[in-house]
Amino acid sequence: MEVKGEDEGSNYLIDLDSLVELFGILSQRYRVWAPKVKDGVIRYMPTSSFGELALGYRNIELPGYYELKKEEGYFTYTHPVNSLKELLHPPELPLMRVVKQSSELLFDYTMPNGERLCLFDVRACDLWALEVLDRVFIKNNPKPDPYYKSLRDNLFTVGVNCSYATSTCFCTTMGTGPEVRGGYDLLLTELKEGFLLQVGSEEGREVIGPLKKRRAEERHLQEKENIIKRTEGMMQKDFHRQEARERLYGRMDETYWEPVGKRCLACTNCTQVCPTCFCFDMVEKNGLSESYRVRAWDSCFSPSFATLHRFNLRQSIHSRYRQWLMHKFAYWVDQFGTYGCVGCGRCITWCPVGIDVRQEVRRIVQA
Amino acid sequence: MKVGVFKFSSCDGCQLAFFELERELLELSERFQIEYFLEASSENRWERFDIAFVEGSISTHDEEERIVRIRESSKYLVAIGACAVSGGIQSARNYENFEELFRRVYEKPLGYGISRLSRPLSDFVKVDLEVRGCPISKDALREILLSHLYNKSPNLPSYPLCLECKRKLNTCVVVAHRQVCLGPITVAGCGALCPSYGRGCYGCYGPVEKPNLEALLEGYKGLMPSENIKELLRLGFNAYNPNIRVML
Ligand code: SF4
Ligand code: SF4
Repeated sequence: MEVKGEDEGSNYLIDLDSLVELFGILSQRYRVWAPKVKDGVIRYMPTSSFGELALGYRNIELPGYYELKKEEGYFTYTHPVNSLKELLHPPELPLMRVVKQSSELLFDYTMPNGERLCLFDVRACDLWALEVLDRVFIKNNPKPDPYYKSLRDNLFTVGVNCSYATSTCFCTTMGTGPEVRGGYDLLLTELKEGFLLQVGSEEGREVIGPLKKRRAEERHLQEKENIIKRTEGMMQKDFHRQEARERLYGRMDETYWEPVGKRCLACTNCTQVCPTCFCFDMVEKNGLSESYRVRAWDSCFSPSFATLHRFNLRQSIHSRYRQWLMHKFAYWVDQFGTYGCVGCGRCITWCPVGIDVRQEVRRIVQA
Repeated sequence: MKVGVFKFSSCDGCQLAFFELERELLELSERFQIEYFLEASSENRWERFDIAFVEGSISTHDEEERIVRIRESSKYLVAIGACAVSGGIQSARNYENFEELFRRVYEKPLGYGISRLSRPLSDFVKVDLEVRGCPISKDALREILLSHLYNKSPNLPSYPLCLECKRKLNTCVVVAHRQVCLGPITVAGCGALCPSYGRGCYGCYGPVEKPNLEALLEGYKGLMPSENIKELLRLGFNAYNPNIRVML
């Protein structure tokens, strides 16, 4: 993973007032997306003031279960239920409009409007997911995607280190967290005395220029280390990812997959909440005088996904589940040089029947 | 293209989509001539139809014959709505003791031959396209007409509602609010209307192909006993859909 850099002398301590001020500066420069409470969950949404933030909440997550509680402190939750995929690879993105004028067809290619975006409060798993999406759409793509790229080029990120992990978090297993190690413009860690603010890019440095702040001391950095260690301790190591990958290639036979095929609804939820599942469909929305071509989220669990010439190649649910899991934990590495899974656990929490992908990997690998 | 609109046992609600589409239908009147539509016109001609839209379920002996005649007169037959696709709400009787139920509702025999079962068109004739919903949406109807116009296959979803629900950025009511939602085994197309208002889907678009009902019942055990969920399905609009009837 490319690290934008954490050079020395870029560590500051700020208090709550400065944090509020920082948010104000960001709101002036960018359209800010940040975690807010909506419908009883924490969700990234356009946010215009500090007071709207979901600070002081705790998300309790189990397979197929989500609940919010109040908690002492500020960044007391983990990642929101949605991810930056929603911002950079929107669920429905119009690509083209065709209009009929007299007898001529006019083609109008719609590009994102180029406004500057800020994603405030991104956790380690999701920053890793950003790198994964970058590889999919740009870096490892012979034809870099112009739509993704135009949104991506305008993105400014403020990372936050997690001081808590839910029962569905497994970033330590996937090697992506809980420590934010790069890919951010600014990074925050909530400490006893205030907030540790670290700079990861020139743009980040510029943003915090006018901010009231003081140099962080050794003990502040030490406290950050301790917080990260403590958070790590809240998670188990579920499996060894390289070993799992190697063994998965020898587990294609359907007998390994039928047990999960019996439990899975093929509802597509896991793929929709996943921060790296990028599959899309091209939907033609035809009208009488104008038509749109829209890029819409798709899913390998959908019955139309592997349908060729009216025949669905993956009829059984277990074959769709196999495709998904194998892609995430095996093929993705061949394709993009990273795992497709970042260990955020969203697919576990948001599976309506609580299927836990960690257990499935373990079961299949150990069989 | 000659179009016929027909109805069987149903509430007439799906046919209303044609009236909602008035403006477009007028614009398209050169391409589509509505030859037969009892609810809309007093002049009806029954010859050959390029497209027949059929609402309603087959639930009398007379209807069994009439649907065969429509099929024989039509090139392309479209079943519109839960009644035509699945048998409709009236198929709740399919899971009861018919004679007893009949006696409870009617004092004396009706003057026509009512069948024991209320069944979808596809139990009797070949159906070229099924449009889900109770009622269908005018957008689906427009898509079918335009696809004939543009000679393409109509873009109607076969995927589950959850995909549409998530594209709409809804919060899942099962996971976050402990509600029973039939979205995972129900076909999309309604715009995830119910979950968008914070309640579970009750399946008016009917089951997906090969729904994994057993897994849903098992997974929802903590929310509602399996028997009650099955009862919900048996009393629903799509209880007798071929994809799910054997499981109920
Ligand atoms: S969310 Fe669960 S039930 Fe739905 S497709 Fe994924 S694993 Fe299957
Ligand atoms: S609310 Fe219902 S339709 Fe929406 S994701 Fe949850 S289970 Fe699926």
